[in-house]
Amino acid sequence: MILGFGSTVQKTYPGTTFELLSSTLDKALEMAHLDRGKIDGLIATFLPGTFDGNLALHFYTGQLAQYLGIRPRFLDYVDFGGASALAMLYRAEKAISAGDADNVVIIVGGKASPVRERKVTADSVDRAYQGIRLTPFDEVFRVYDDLNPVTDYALVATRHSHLFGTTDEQRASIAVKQRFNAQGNPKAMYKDPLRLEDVLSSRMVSTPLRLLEIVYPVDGFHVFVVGKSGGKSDLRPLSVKYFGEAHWPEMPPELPDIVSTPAVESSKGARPLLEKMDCFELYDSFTITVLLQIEDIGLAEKGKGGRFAQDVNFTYQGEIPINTGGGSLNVGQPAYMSGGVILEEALIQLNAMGEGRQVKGVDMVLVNGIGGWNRAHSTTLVLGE
Amino acid sequence: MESFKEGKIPYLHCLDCGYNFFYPRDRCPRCHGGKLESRLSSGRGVIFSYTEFQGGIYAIVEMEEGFRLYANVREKVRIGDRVVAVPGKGRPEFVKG
Repeated sequence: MILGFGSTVQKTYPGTTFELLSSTLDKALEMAHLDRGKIDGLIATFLPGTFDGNLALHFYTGQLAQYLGIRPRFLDYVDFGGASALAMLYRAEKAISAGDADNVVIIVGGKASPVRERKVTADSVDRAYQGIRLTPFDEVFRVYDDLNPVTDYALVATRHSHLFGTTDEQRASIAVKQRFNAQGNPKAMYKDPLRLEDVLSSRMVSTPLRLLEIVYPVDGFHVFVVGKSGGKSDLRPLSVKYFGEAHWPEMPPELPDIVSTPAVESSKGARPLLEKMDCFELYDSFTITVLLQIEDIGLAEKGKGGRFAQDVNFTYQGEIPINTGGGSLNVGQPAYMSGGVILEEALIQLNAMGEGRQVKGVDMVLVNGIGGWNRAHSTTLVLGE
Repeated sequence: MESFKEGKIPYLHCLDCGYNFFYPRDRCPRCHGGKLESRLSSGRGVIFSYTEFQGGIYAIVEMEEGFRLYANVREKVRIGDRVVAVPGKGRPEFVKG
């Protein structure tokens, strides 16, 4: 079960990445009523450049354990980008039930500001560092100074509008409703009320995606502690009620179309549970990402996500609450991967810790993560008692 | 790859099932057959999707041989517009045509 969690997110962290991680781990352990000596498992994820500006740390999980003073019996590394955090939670529970470890810490995040300051994205770090290749066939794949993943999701948004008549206003309404939720979240970086006109008049970054439809990369960590039940944790005894993962490793041009994500497959087994969900936390790197998942997990038919975004009140006060803390669009995206943001918000809601944005009576939450090179991965998690 | 630098688009043709694909692999992604032949595209295609950013246009183009690729486009386009590959900076670019 989940014994504790903690996060630290800020635009630019002045100290070292390890200090930032260490203090965040302490917050999570305090909630779990555990000390570091009891931790014997660690799972982490990493994108080149986003831990501390270095492109690689050799034996990353081992170095984390060394610095944090953890002697692991179990180490794992999950490489699904934004879908990683949910897969890590599932793997931690499996490791514990198999007897491979007693208490596992999950680490998501880093100090992304060195990449941001070089004016590249995590998926285009090859533009800023010497001798880097992102694929074995960069010569035919890397085109222009593409702003991947922004330009990639922009292609999706253009095509979605072409096929289904999805409008800019419909996507913008996702940003507006999430901002409403963010106003009740003390950790949100952006809390000023937002109107449709504000989103639609914000700077065009990559047509049709505008600035207020895109996450801001920040420094920060999310740490989760998973262990056996029966400890001193005050949290509800939550566990994974459903987990699905799916991977579409093809380059998107080779998919039958680009308007679906592997969430179609990863969420399949959760469909019968949809009616029982009290809220949904959906990966929100862009407004279009949320819209795709609304369709792919089955809240709306394919092509009708735009109308859903416009018509359904999905604020924390509404009938189908989505991204109740404002999501990464308002909290920021630590280390260019915000699986930790949505997982933490699910735990906050389930433990009635939502202060100004608590949904009433939350017993079951669906969390969906999307990630990897060109949205290759999706993980769907249902959490409850 | 030399042809790519000259503005021509190579692709792989599976001799077992006839599937055409662009991103290099040594097996056919459809039938897993290993009998592949490198061919040159006519260069003609249509815009599958596009985005305009920082003065550039980035698109997915569907070639008449059936495969799609990410590509640079030199002028404003819409989905469905016919385009043709011309030599660009080290790789093909597309213009209307």
